[in-house]
Amino acid sequence: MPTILRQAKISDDRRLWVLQEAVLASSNTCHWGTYTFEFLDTVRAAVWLRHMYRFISGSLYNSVGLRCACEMLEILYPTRRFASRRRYLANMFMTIRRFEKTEPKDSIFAILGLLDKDTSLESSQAALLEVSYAKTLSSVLRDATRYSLCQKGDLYALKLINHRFDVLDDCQLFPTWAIRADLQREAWDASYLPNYFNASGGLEAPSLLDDISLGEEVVLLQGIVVDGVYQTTASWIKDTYEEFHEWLIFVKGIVLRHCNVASQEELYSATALTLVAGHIWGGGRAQSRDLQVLLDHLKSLALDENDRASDGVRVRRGFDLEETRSMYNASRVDYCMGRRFFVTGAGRLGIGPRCMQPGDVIVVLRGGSKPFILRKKSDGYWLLGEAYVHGIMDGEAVQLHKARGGSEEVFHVR
Amino acid sequence: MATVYSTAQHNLVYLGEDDDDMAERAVKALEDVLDDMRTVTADFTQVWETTYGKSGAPLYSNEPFSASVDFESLEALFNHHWFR
Repeated sequence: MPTILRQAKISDDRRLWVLQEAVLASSNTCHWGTYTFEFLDTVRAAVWLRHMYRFISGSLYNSVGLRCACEMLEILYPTRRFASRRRYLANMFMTIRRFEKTEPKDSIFAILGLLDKDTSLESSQAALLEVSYAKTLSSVLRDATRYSLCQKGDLYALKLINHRFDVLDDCQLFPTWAIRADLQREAWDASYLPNYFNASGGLEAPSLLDDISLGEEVVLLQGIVVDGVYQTTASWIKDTYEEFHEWLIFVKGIVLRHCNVASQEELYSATALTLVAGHIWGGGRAQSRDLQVLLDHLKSLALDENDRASDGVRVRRGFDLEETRSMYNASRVDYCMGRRFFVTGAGRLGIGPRCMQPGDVIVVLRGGSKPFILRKKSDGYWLLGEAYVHGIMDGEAVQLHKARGGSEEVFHVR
Repeated sequence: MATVYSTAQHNLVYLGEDDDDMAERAVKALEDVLDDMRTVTADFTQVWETTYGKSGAPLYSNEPFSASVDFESLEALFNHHWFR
């Protein structure tokens, strides 16, 4: 016998539940007025429309429903590529954030039925996912985050940490390391940095993720302090070419002011690689030669009327839409959106979370493929998020630290 | 709840009334999109290989649709509450 999923007016309340409903059924048919069509066809078409984004309207491409439908196909019909999607809560977080939910605690409760049963943790940690509406939202998110860290045994889930300023201000309501699965992903949220780094190569696996000896609000992260944030640009938020152009001028300004390297060519190359988080379109690590368009663009940007290009490249006086657009299309600079560009005390370059500021600490942590930005507080640290820091993405900082005979620290992150 | 849905053989997703007369157009538009998709993805067997690069980053087509598609009706469909 068919089950009628729900009437539209009920679904207004608990949006994320529809995902569970669609995924767990063996087949689904959509009914709209007197018309009937296959749910599978609908979500397949969504994936194809996304693939064809150059040929569809902006409003369709940006519609939340289209993105959610794409997520549904990935969850519904996992291939090897998405096989781990339902195995780890850490992976489910990304899906959760796309969907609306009126009861914030459902951001966790509504997807528990989707987690593969054979990968659940031993009973002590399974209790972290107990469905209880009596728990506060903060403890639901905190416990789910700890579960996801313990389940994978690494810090993968923390890629979702991306505080808004207003949230950070009252962050004592929520531990800074708790993933805000209740907040829906917004258009101006930074995209996740690529995963294919190994900044903590040379460190052992984390061993204190399940340790609550300092309280449930504290997660103990092991690792090394690498550097400090010296100066940052504003975060690039608005998505227009002209604003990006202005932002790049700030980037060039702080790089030239604060970095003292023998070779200017090297400095521009490091800047370009930082702006694309070391990546090219379609994935894969970028080499300097992949970034020629961006390099030329950076060199030609005029800081002010008195600047001259030092190497014969034409100095650009103002904003040129076509050139900025072609540079943008040639280089994967969209990792900069919603992030700040920064220089470190040791002269390194990076892009990191929008809430970071001078004085924050750059650390490499056990189980973290990328460096993290922490903020020192009187009783421990705040976790601000992941960063791309040029030159330490493949374990170089760990090697250097060991060569100097440095030891590891345990950071009490609240 | 999870048990209810996983034991059902077939679920009906009821999207509601078709107040703006979009459903017929959307059904036609879905067919148009799927016709193209079916051709390029070898009858849907190569969907992920076509839409994602090796490292997992999405790939975007440089080839337009073979026929015009009614995007307005598709927008109405995906803007439906159920999908969010």
